[in-house]
Amino acid sequence: MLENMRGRVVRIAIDDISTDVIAPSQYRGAVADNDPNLTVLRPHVLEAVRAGLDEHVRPGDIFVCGKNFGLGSHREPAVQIFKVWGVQAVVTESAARIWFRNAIAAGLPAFELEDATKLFAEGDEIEIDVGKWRISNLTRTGNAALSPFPPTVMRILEAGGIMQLLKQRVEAEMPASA
Amino acid sequence: MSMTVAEKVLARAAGKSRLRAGEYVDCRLDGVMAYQSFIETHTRAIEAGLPEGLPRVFDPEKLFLMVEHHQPATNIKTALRGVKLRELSQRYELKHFYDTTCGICHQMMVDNAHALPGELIIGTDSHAIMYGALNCAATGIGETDAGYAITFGELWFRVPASVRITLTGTAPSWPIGKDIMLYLAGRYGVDFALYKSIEFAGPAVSTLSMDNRFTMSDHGVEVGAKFAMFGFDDRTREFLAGRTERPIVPVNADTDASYAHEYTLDITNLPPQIAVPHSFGKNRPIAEVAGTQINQACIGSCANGRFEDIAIAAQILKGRRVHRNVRLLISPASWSVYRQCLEAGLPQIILDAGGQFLNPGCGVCGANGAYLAPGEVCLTATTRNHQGRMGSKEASIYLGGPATVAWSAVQGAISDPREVLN
Repeated sequence: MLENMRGRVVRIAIDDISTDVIAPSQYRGAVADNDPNLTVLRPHVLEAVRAGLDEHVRPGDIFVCGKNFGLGSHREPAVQIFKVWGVQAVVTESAARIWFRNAIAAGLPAFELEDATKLFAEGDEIEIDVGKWRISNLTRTGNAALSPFPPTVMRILEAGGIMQLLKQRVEAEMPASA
Repeated sequence: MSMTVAEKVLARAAGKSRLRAGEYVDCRLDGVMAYQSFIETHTRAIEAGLPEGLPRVFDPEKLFLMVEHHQPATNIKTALRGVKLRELSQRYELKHFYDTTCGICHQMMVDNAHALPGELIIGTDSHAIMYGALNCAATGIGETDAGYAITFGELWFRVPASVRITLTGTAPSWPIGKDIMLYLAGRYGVDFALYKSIEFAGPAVSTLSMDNRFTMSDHGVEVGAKFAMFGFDDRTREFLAGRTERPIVPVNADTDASYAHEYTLDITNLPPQIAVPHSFGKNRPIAEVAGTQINQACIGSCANGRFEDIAIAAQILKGRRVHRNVRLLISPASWSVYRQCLEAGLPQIILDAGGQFLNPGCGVCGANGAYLAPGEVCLTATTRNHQGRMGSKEASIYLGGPATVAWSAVQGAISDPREVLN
């Protein structure tokens, strides 16, 4: 089940952040394929707009980002890093199409909320209720309605990502290959 | 009930008679493009608990797999990926596996007509949207989504709203696709087509070559689009002639289809456009940035690595010299484009002028091979100028059309190509 979340805000209040900025090429090329923790990339994530994030982010944090977040290249480390950090969810004012798909595929809840960077400040404690589809600021008053995820997206998030959904379907339909 | 092109293609692929923007559907795929990062798909499947990776490929004739993006191998990781890709291509008995004579995946897809009008194709790269120039609904996804798509031949989609861009006037004799997209991004923002399907229409379309159209559809993703499609006409038919025996079923929008936005642009006298660092949408009239000194100039990628892009560069470079402070790097998009250039004698002209004619691939787009040091300035006819894309985040990347790049390489600074084109 997708559960309600409560966490500290890390705010990137800049629009049009590209995946080149989230996951710079310079730190991706030579990394081996067996580096699920992104050890080389990790200290450099988003450094062009905010240095030192890797030391700042704590498991359970919730990112709040501007418009068109994650535009450009389809690279998945731009989503995986949030899973590696233990970030619970990312709330954008709008997300670039492929970044959004990749987030859902990885099992990372990605919400869209107009004016999110105005409603929440760095360090605020916020709560996301996925039963009532509301997001609340616990540090200062204010809350807003979220658009519920459609069943297709819920099914992927509840499986823990599309690879888990794939595995379930393989086991159901192709027992010999699982 | 009238439908847009996107609604028609997705409805057909979902087995429904009608669809509306905003609906979520599961669609059958007509093809999947994957390149060296297919190894990431394989790895994700193993991590998910499938010890051998994906248990199958839904149709061995519909996965187009390429040892591409960093070829020849640029490091031990890509070399190892190549080894694994060759093994997997045999395990899955793939009909279409491109290795030693590969070019940029997207150009390979259209060179070999693996993406046809009316089809629904996905690829593990954002610029898969380029096949829209062939009236194909094509879009990029990630490696994890691709695992599901490749195993079952289906994937979920949100039906996009559509925007219509009506082009009037006449294209000039030099490539203008880049300038059109830079102009639109500058005017309407880099998210004006976010999650939408672009339909290019209007009387100017018939004057736009296929090479221009590929550039424009490719850059659909730079303005956020899911699809960026042209209609089917004589130029499309001519391009596909001899490349495929598969049936061609073009799709057109109904005349009263509904659009979220409509834009009109007269391209007749559109001046050369420049995007300044670090966004595709930071568009400036060339007069404002002319004179900016450059260290590197590039022409290539899935955006501008086709014959007409390189031919205009050669036309400008013929009998001239590249400025001594500038490294001019030109890379054809594919093996086939390379041959076209050779047959037309273009590499000789480029080499005589002091430019480099490189192998086909993504290298000049910054992915792996055109790195910039802090403080360096590059003017490039490739896909993107995002901060850090070509290495240092302290480097400056400007985007322009291939004619602008070639003339600026000669001048040593950003210069208006109409000085030599008119």
